Amino acid sequence: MQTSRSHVRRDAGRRTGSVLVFALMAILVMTVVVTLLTQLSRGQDAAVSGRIDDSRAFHLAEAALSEGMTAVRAGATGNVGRPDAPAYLGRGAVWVTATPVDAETTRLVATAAVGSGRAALEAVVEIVEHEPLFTAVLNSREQLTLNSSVRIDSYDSTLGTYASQAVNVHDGAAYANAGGDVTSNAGIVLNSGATVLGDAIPGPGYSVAFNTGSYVSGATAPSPTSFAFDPVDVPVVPSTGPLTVPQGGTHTVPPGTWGFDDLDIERNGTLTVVGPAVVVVDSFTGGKDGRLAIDASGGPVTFVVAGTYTVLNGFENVPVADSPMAVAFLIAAAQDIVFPSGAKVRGGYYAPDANIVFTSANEAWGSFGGNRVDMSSSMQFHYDESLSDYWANQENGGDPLDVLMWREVAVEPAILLRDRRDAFAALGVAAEDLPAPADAWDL
Amino acid sequence: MRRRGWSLVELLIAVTLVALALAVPLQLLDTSSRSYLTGATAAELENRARSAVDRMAELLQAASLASIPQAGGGPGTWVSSVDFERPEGWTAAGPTLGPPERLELRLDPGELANGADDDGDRLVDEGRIVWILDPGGVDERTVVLCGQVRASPLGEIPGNAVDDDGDGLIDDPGFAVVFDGDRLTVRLTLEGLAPDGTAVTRTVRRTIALRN
Repeated sequence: MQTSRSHVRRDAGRRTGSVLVFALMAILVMTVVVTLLTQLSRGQDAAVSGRIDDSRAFHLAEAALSEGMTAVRAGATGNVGRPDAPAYLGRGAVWVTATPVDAETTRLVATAAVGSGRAALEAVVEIVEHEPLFTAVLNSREQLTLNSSVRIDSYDSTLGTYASQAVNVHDGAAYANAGGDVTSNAGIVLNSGATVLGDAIPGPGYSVAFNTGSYVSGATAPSPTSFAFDPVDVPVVPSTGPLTVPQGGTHTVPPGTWGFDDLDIERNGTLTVVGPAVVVVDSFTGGKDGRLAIDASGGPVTFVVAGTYTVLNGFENVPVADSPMAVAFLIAAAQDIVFPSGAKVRGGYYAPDANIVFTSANEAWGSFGGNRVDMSSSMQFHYDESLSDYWANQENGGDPLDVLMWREVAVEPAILLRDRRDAFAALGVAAEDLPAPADAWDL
Repeated sequence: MRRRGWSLVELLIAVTLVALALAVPLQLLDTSSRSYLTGATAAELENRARSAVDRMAELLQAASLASIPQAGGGPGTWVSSVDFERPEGWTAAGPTLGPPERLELRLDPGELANGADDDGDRLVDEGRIVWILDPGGVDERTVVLCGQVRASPLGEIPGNAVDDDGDGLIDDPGFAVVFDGDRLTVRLTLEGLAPDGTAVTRTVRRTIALRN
């Protein structure tokens, strides 16, 4: 009997179905969907990666621009590498092209390429030479006359109070250090009993005139050059309106750059400014017995006063505990700056177009430079030696380089924007052959 | 040989058992699918917000501080429109500034600031950030940097003169710029809807130093 074999043959002939077709169709659809999703994902990844590379290129361009500025500060041209011989920085290639605009001004264009990212930045920079503002306790454009019995010495506010440092004695009177220099672009006259424990340096062609009992411990030879008395450059800082500290009230200005219209500390009011800070005001008024408290433990405080500076009896600038008295007033106006009788004046004052007047029996700790400095007899001036550390230049906190303009520009050569291969491949250079930016100046 | 098939009872029992067996995984799949879609919406919003803020940063960091009339406000005050000019070259007289530009928050077309969804997109009082070149001039051009800007940040109740969300700003909108000397902070809040209708909000913040 062949039932099973014939049965199998019959069954084999009758075996039909479309499962395989459906399965193949399902697999095909799944394959297409997965492929599309993969492509979409890769596209998104590429877009994100491209944005990341562009961001990296931007930051590398900034770093390269900074390198170019460092080179200019150091007296080099500002060129760093070349397009065909860039410098290696942060897994990318950078170069800076410098073009002189005039004797002090240079145009720098920094270009960076990293991965597929490209960026270029332009800055116009200027070397600004400023004489240190506060290297003497008194500095005047006109003749400097030290009235009778005026005493001048120096101390260092970073080491504590003047009283704590006045451990030396000269002519029966205590003093701290013999660094109390006085300078003038014209002559210097010492009236009877005036004492300078420091140098007295008149302008070129001028001399120091001594009267009875006057004394200078240091040099008196005239300076070969005159002090420039550059005008005060009032920075453009948007104003937040007037600032008034009410009678008996207090207010604190935190670190930063601030602009106000008129700053008025009313009677018995206290304004505390925490450094580092730059405060730009249209006018400054210190009311009777008011206080300007300076916290320079984190950095100096600079007031730039576009207009008038007025203080009344009893107003004082004081340091907070453990803070140096690192405050400077840069006063642009030509109106006289008058310190009333009994005033205790602290800080650096630079008013190139104004006369600074100490009315009677004041005592001053700091540095005072102006068109002319007038004083009563028996005044005491104590130069703060730390002031020259903070204000080596008038602007930029000591940075001799001014950035006059900054902007993003088109990447050159333009082919770099079309060729988005790896940066080194696009430039035709090998990363390991490239120097560091500091080694690529003026290549 | 007798061919046997499935009886109706067997089939119903089998289907019921399969359905019970699949119920839990299907529920999990639905939950994770919703989470994924919500997360995807949030990620997309974050991406768009960051792109918009990055673009604004590119524009503003090169702006001349002196050209920005709104720059006088200090910390605690906000603006939602910034006028500025950027240098486009250098001459012996100094930098030459380009045409005036503006970044501002505008309501979406058809939308009114009335607390209602006027345009039927299920978002209330939403706006868009526009970049305007030469505003009011003959060559005025407008580019939309991003839409779906929320009327106010999450947690902030507009118009009550209170800083509800504790960000230091009172009644600030979804796009707010705060100036602090030569720096500014941009805050942008976008809102979207996940496919299941869930509202998703993302806030991006960036501080920019003005270079000119």
